Amino acid sequence: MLVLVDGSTAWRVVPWIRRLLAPAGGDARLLLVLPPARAVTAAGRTIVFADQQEQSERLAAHFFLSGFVSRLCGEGLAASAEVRFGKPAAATLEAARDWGADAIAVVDSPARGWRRWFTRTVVDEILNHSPVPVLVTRASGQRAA
Amino acid sequence: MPIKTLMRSPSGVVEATESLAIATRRLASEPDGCLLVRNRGRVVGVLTMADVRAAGPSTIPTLAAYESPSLTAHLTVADALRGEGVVVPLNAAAADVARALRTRQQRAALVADGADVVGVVTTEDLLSALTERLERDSPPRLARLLVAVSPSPTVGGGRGTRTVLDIGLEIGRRHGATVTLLHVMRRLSPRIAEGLPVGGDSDVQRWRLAGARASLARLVPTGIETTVRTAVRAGEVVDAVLAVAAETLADLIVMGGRRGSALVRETICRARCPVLAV
Repeated sequence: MLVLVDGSTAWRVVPWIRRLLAPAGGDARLLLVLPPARAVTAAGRTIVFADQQEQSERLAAHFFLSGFVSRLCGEGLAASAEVRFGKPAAATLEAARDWGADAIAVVDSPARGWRRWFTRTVVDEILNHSPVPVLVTRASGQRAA
Repeated sequence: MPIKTLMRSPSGVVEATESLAIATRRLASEPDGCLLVRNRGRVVGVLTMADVRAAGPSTIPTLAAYESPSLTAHLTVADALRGEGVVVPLNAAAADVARALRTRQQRAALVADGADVVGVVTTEDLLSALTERLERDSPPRLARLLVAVSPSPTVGGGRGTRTVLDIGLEIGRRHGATVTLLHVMRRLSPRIAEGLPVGGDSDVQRWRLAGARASLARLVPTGIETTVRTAVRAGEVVDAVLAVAAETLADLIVMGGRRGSALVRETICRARCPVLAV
């Protein structure tokens, strides 16, 4: 199962993944998608190149995910982490295809009121285009695992 | 388990003589959920939201009516503390801290390294550690599943009933869960679905209901180990799915149909448990 996480909602979905997979066994891959890094320039000179910036962000993201991975591994699940750069929905679908995921898990933070009918979220895009089942948990208003 | 792996390090400090109302506002924005309480330059305890609630006006309106706001407004942080704080060394075991908190009826302990306070351990921290330990011994399972199916052939690009059912039953089998198969009939009278008398076309509606129940029962494979229940409801699909999910205390809703459809989206938005869109 490919699990799309971000910094603020990872704690919401990971317990459900644990609950879903722990009795049945299975692999979980936590995916964090970051916006493409940009080079840092000052006075016309490049101080940090984009690939260097991406590398440092990748290391920080892996460090963040390592806590969840070790917790899942500690419970007998085969867990791993992956960091990609780009648009979250497209990167998730690509990662699911590359990894051969049987399902994708995401956390939904829906817009409130009338906005939710007019705004497309990452979850909408994944739901519409995913070739595999999608498990959706909400960021709020839902009981914990 | 050493307590230093569980403790948090609050940075907020409040004076014991400070107004409880002001401290409560600070506490609400405190990321660690607690404040160290200082009296005459010495840390004497920990203030948590539970302490504030216990000291403040009653949350029951009929009782709160008898509490004078002018009196509760004069409460200080010291009034909310439950006696002298529990202080434990950095290398104390979690079990010892839990025992000390229980004996002294406190909700948080100060962790000290020599003369310095280096952290705080609350009953919530101990409970989460206990939960992890218990769940490691017996992993939590999904106990109840709701699988929304349609016995008629799916149209409009949806995944077939068999796929939704197969996935739902497979999850149910692996978790040893009770699976409820739900079919919602939009044009069926709710009174018929509940077995109540209705008007002229009641025979037709009863015939449709019986047909739907029989079709649903036929979907359940014979000889499976999982407990499977079937239910037919009348009305709007989303409302019915959510109502049955609430009745059965479902841990997971498995839904078929077109994944990005308004039905699936609305269910995801309103469900009290995760939804697996197949």
